[in-house]
Amino acid sequence: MYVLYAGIYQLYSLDTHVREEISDWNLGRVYGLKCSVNGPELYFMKKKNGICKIAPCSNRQADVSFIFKSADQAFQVVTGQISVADAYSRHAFALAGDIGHAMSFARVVDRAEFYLFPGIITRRILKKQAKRQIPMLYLYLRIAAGILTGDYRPEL
Amino acid sequence: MKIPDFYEFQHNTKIISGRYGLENLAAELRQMGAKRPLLLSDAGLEAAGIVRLVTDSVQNNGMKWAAVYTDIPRDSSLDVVNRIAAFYREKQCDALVALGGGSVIDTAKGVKMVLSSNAEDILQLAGCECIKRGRRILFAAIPTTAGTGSESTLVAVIRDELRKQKLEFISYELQPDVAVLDPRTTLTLPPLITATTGMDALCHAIEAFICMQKNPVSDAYAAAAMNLIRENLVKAVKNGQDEKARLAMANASMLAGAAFSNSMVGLVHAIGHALGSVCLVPHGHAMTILLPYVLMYQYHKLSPYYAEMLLYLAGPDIYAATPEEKRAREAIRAIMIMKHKLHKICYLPEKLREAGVARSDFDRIAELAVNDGAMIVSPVPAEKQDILHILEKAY
Repeated sequence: MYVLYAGIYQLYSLDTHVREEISDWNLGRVYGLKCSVNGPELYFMKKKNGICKIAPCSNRQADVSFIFKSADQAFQVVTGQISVADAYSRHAFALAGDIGHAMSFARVVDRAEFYLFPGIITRRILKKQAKRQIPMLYLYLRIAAGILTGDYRPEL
Repeated sequence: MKIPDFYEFQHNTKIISGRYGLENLAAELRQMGAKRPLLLSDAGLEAAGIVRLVTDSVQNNGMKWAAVYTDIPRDSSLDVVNRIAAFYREKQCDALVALGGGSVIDTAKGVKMVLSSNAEDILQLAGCECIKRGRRILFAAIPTTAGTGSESTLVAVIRDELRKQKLEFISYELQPDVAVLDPRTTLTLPPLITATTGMDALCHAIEAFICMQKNPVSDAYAAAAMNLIRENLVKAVKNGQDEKARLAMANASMLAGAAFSNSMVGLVHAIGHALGSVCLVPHGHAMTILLPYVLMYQYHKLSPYYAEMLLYLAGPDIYAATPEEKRAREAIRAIMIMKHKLHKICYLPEKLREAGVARSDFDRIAELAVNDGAMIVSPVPAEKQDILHILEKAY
């Protein structure tokens, strides 16, 4: 999940499709990903120029939350074994919030997975193979640089 | 038949099908423990005498209604849902009976959600599989169209007037305990409504058969629905008093609803929802017009499923007589033939321009369609340009 978030974070400035999707989100919209009831969770928020991670907070409700029914199902998605669409088809997660907003996030995740995984995986799990705007290796280097500069620490 | 790696299927609803099904409702309510049921319907059905038919059937079999509420508008809204929930509590009801089309049944599902979850804000329940079982609210549905299949589905769409948006609620907890399919409730449906709702049911069955979540159980439901529609839709449109055809179509609608609830719907519905939002095209009209063009768009990937569907869409004789490599195209042709027959009988629109859609609406329709929840499970992806292409073909 950390790498997926970092990938989306970097792709906001590197991929026009991801930037277009995220730019359409309302400022302050919060997305949440939870791997089963007691599993790891990730929350991030739309800010003026991209997204920022936020700490899970008991009094803050995400606008859209994906709550996986089991850690195994979540693992399959984040490791590229199945796509978000496959997971939805299998009822692998509950989805709280506006389904239209969730669709936009699903497209962003698909796009991020397209960069993060090699063709041998993306050809199996993604319905459409798009054109990368930057090389995969460059994205990973940017992700690594972001770790060093603390880009993925929760801001709120 | 390919078994998916993983699937889920649930259909909780007891089906009572046949003439005098309404007369059995009292016994079913008693069996469930109800003593003070609330009947929900609309003014149109009250004027048509259908409400009276149901109230009398139940009362004549030993169950008194706590109240009857018929002030439900065409499109369900949060205000209406909250009003009815308050009315239910005020009258100390212990069961809901919904008599009507998709709007009435969706409203009843909304009321059930509010009452069972005791949610302060129904928005907390928006989404997919977020609704927990909660307090048991007994719920029976009597559809008067055939149809949306709402009596089988796990979806309710309710408008939030404040935020000017439609909210989707998806949960197995929304399925009624009982659905009563009595041909008498659809005898007065005019030919055009019979045709458009019947084609909606056909679309549900077909999309369930080809969608990403297709599985052996939903396929069985979808195939049965397609068979019944092939044999009975035109009969029901030509002669509304044909009770056998009416009952068959009610069953088809219920089966198709159960199928797509578990297998999902895809691109036809994504574009159809957008057509409804932008141009107010009735849902059934949108499904009828779009179906063959979307099937053609998806042909390169899904033709093996279309070839299978020919058996249900055209019958065993035509299926056996058609060479294997031509079956997929023949299946689409069978749909076009049915569309055209219905157009000749009752002027069911065949093209978007007949339904009052202008080319200037296409952009907005495509933008909305791309964000529709049904798009995620469409087996063939479609971006804005692809949808514009489909709309142009269907124009």
